[in-house]
Amino acid sequence: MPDIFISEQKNIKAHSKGISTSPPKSVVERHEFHSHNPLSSYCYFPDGIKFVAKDSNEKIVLFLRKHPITNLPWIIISLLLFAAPMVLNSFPLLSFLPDNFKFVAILGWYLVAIAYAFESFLDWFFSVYIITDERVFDVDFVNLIYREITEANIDQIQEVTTKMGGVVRTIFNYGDIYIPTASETPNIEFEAVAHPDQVAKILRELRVEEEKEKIEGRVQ
Amino acid sequence: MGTTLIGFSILGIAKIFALFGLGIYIIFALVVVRQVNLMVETIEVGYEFFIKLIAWAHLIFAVFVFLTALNIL
Repeated sequence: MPDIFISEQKNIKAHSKGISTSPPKSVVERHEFHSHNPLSSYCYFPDGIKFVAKDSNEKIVLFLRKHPITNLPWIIISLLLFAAPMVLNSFPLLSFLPDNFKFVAILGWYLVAIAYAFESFLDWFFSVYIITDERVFDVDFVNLIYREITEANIDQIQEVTTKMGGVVRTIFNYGDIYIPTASETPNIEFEAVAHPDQVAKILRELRVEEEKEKIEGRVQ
Repeated sequence: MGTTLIGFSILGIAKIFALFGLGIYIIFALVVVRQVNLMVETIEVGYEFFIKLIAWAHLIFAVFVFLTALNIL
């Protein structure tokens, strides 16, 4: 029997979104600098990312981390920490200790160096900013065992302010984005993200689409 | 016996402090493993296996240093 009526409700949202379930080709071209590598700091429509607070029908539009150049300080400090025992070997700093104590002291030093480098990497790797077609998330791992996930609906965003200043930030094109919201969480801040202007533009487009949906009464 | 402090060997006291510090460090390494698990549960991006592997290797290294200190100090 032929179908008299087929609901197009499921497709309405996808069609109505400027940024829909898959990025249009022209939009992807605008994001030619993005990468789907798990270590990427700017990923547009990422593949295979699972996020605990994401709804099943929600689509991740942007996945951001701090710019990789922000890792330089801890990488340099880690290299110095690892090199220190070899360099300090020339100086008799631990000469008053017996050899067995010296050995354990050096092993202990390397333990601390490994912990510092690993913790710094984890802090960068897991502190992420996620923009979905419905919400904005700021995932922070503040310290050991403390996790903070801040979220706001796209339609609660009041304005988007980007801040980019300084020589390094200008050269590597990264900056901060402030997102005041009307929710209980007054502010969401993306720190040192790559291509902040592009991120602000995407947020603006998503806000416009949300407003359109509200006007047309298609809010889910 | 070497230098003493109120009847205790200075190196003996240093050994106790070293072992205590390394014991605390093992707890820290355990917390790191727990933390990594928490992070991986929160967000899966890729490389989770390698990150967990590093956390466990760090814990094993901490235990190894503790046992080494226990034996040679």
